[in-house]
Amino acid sequence: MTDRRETRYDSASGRARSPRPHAADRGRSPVHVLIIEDDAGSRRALVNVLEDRGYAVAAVGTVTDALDWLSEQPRPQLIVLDLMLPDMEGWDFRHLQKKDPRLAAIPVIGVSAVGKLVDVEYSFRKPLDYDEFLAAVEQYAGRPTEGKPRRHG
Amino acid sequence: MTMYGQSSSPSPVSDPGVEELRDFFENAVDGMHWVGPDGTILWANRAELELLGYRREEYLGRPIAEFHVDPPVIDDILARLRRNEVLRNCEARLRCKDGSIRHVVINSSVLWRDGEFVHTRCVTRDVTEQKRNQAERERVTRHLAVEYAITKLLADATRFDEVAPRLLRTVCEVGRWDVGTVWIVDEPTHALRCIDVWHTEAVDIDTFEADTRRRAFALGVGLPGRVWAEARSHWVDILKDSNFPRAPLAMSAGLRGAAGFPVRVRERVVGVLEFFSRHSVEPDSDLLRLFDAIGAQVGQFAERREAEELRDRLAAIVDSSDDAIVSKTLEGTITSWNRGAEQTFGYTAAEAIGRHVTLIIPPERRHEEDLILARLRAGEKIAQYETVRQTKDGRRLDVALTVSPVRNAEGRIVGASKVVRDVTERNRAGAALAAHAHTMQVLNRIGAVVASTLDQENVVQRVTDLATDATSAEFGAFFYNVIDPESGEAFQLYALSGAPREAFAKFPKPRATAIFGPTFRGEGVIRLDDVTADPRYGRSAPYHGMPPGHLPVRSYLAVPVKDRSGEVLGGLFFGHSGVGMFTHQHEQIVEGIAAWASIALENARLHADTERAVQGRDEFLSVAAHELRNPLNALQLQLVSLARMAEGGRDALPREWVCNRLQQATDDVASLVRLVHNLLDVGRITAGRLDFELEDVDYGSVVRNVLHRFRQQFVDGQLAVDIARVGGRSDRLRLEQIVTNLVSNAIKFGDRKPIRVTVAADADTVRIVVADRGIGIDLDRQQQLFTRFSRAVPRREYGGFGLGLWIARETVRAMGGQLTLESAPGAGSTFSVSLPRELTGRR
Repeated sequence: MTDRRETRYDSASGRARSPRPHAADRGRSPVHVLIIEDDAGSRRALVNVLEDRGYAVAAVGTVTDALDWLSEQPRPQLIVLDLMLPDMEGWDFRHLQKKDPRLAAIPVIGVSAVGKLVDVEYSFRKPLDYDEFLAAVEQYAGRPTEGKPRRHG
Repeated sequence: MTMYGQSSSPSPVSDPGVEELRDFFENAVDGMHWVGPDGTILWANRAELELLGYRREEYLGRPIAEFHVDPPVIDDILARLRRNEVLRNCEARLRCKDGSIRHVVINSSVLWRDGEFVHTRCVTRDVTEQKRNQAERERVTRHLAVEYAITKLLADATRFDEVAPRLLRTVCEVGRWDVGTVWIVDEPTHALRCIDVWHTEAVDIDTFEADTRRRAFALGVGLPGRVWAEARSHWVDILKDSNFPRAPLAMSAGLRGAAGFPVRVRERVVGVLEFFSRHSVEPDSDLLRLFDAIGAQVGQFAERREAEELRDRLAAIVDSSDDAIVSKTLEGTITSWNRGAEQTFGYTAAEAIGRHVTLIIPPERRHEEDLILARLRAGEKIAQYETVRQTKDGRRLDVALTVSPVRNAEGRIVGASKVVRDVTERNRAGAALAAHAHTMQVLNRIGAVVASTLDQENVVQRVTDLATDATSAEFGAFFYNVIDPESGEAFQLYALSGAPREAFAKFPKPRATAIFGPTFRGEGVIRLDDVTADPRYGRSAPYHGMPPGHLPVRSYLAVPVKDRSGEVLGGLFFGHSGVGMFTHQHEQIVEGIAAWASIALENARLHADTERAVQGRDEFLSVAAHELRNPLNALQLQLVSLARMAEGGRDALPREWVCNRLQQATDDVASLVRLVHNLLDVGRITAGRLDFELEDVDYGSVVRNVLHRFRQQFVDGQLAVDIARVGGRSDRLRLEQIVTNLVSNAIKFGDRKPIRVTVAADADTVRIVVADRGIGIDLDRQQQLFTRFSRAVPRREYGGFGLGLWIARETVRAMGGQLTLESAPGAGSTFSVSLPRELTGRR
């Protein structure tokens, strides 16, 4: 499963078309944030924003992939969830998440182009405000362990 | 005596007997005077002076002729005296000092001495009173003669215009008038017009007469107008009168005096009689009386004629009336029976008179007669009482009665006259008119209702309800054809009234059978008193008539609903279990309703189109806004994060890292640009403004180029191609756009499974197929897939999904090709594009 995901997202590595899987993906450090976002541009930008701040980030494009990832990987401290996804809607994911005792407690920040997710900790409308978004992430996921951008470290 | 002494007249006496004689003369009762041979007055006694009112010195020494009114008379007297005649009772008129005139009789002779004229000896007797009395007598006699003559004249006459000339002549001859005219009030113009002129031989009045006959006098104008206005006699000296328009002509005809008097009928002036004289005439109470009498006689004549004419006319009316006019006693016995009654009821007068009026009253209406008689006895008139009477042959007639009490000379009610009007026809016409009015009213109401209804379903339901109500049908149905605006597919819906939907739900839609066909083909109205008796009924399988369980229908009415171009939109059907329930009027109403329904459906369609357009625009804006949010979001986050890193960087940012980030932002801008192009295309397609720039193309290389751009997004080995070289002519950029949309869709939903792209062609058509083995699309969603922004599609479809495919399909269509989809959930999707190889420009 990981291979498939990696294959998909790393295929554009040469020109950084997709977020690179976080090192945590490979077990080097704990993953703090999972991004579920189908729009490639937005997904990449969200990954950049959080990685720049020192978070460990994983990103997927569908609910199916997200559920797969969550079933295999350590629990993230926060999920950033797009409202509209190709296979299911954000609501559907939220529903499934809450039914799973292992996942139910993970806080979710909603990100949507059309409206706000009501049943989440925090909800943003695209285009989202950089500082507000980071403040919300910090509130629910805490400060990143390494304190500064990984890439510069 | 002093005067006498002073007199220059010769003293005829000087002896004592003379004194006595002088005294006798002086105090004589009759006036006396002596006139000398030169005509001057030598002496006059007291009676003479008193008679004329002069003092002695004013009289003596003056020529006697000065005091005579008529110069020829005194000339004659003097001449005769000079011839030694003795004058006896010679009539003359003398002028008094006060201007009055005395009629006198003169007895005179001349005293001759030695053959010489010494003086006259003239005795003057005042006969003024006698003269006056005589004239009075004459006048009275004459007036009576006039009155008599006129009475006789009028008594024998039947028409006033016939008698007018003789009347004028009589009055003129007796009253010594020269001209007489008759004026009649002409009611329509409210003016007096001359209807006749009479004149004596003594005057020549041709011009005056012609003018008079042409004239019309308004109230108060001229002599006739004044008489009319004031309703009394007027006397006029034409010379002095200021309100006499004909004065110049009258004067030149030698006329001087005029009098006019009114002809009255019951205080109303109906005419004026006018008389002219060559002399100035003076108001004269006798003449006035005469005129009044004549005026009254003429008035009575006119009134009598009026009454006679009225009576004749009434008699004629009664006789010739189509209305039955019947009179009866208070007991109800018929006393008169006109021709109208004979015709209306079929009984002759001989059969009816003497019978009781119940002869023509149907038994069930007998009680009415008592009521009518009771009201009559109370002196009431009964007007236009509508009831029913019966004829000799037992037919019933709708009649309107007008019954009036008949009173005897003492005013007691002794009977009734009854006018009976047969209103059977009128009632029939009235009923038709009322029915028509009802039709119009119903149609108006329906028009107002449907005009205010814009929703199609609502329109058809209301039309069906109203029409069913208006025809008193037991139930009605409106079957109408609908074309789905998206799919273009036609199907039939229906509205029902008077029956629950379940009553029809189990039956198939009416087909173009012998009965229904003509309506669906728009061949006109079908109205059947009994549908089951119609030769067209029951000829179609499988039911051969109404299917079992169908509501019973005998009376049947069906009207096609057509649009303006004559295309049939549907049909209105009405049924009733009774036979012959639908009338021509119902047919008319439903035809009118069908016309309304057509307009309303057209309105509803236009309204729906507009709504759809508005909704489409709203959806477009909403989608556009949404679509723009993703690339904007990405771009903004990229730029802000880059900026923050640059601001807060303790270390220089690695060049490679910065380039990488900037490239990502550039990609975001590119996808934003692509999106904007897509949105612009949607606008162009919607407005039908999709233009193509044609060039020679190789379809195969166009597809290869697109795939090359996507190469990094395919999983290794995911893509398989079978691409032929296919030459043709097309718009390269549009082709690329179509292929791009299909390929990106396959990548997105292909679930990373193999994608196959083929390009093949025959002589005319190129075929491009993109097939994936991804998540697939179920049938319902396939239909919606190409919908631009249908509300039926879940919102997630907006994510660059519906829009791209929709643009691809519309572009292919605009190129004269087809884009089809075969798909099943879990089995992947195959999009096939067929295009004419040689595109010939904008379609």
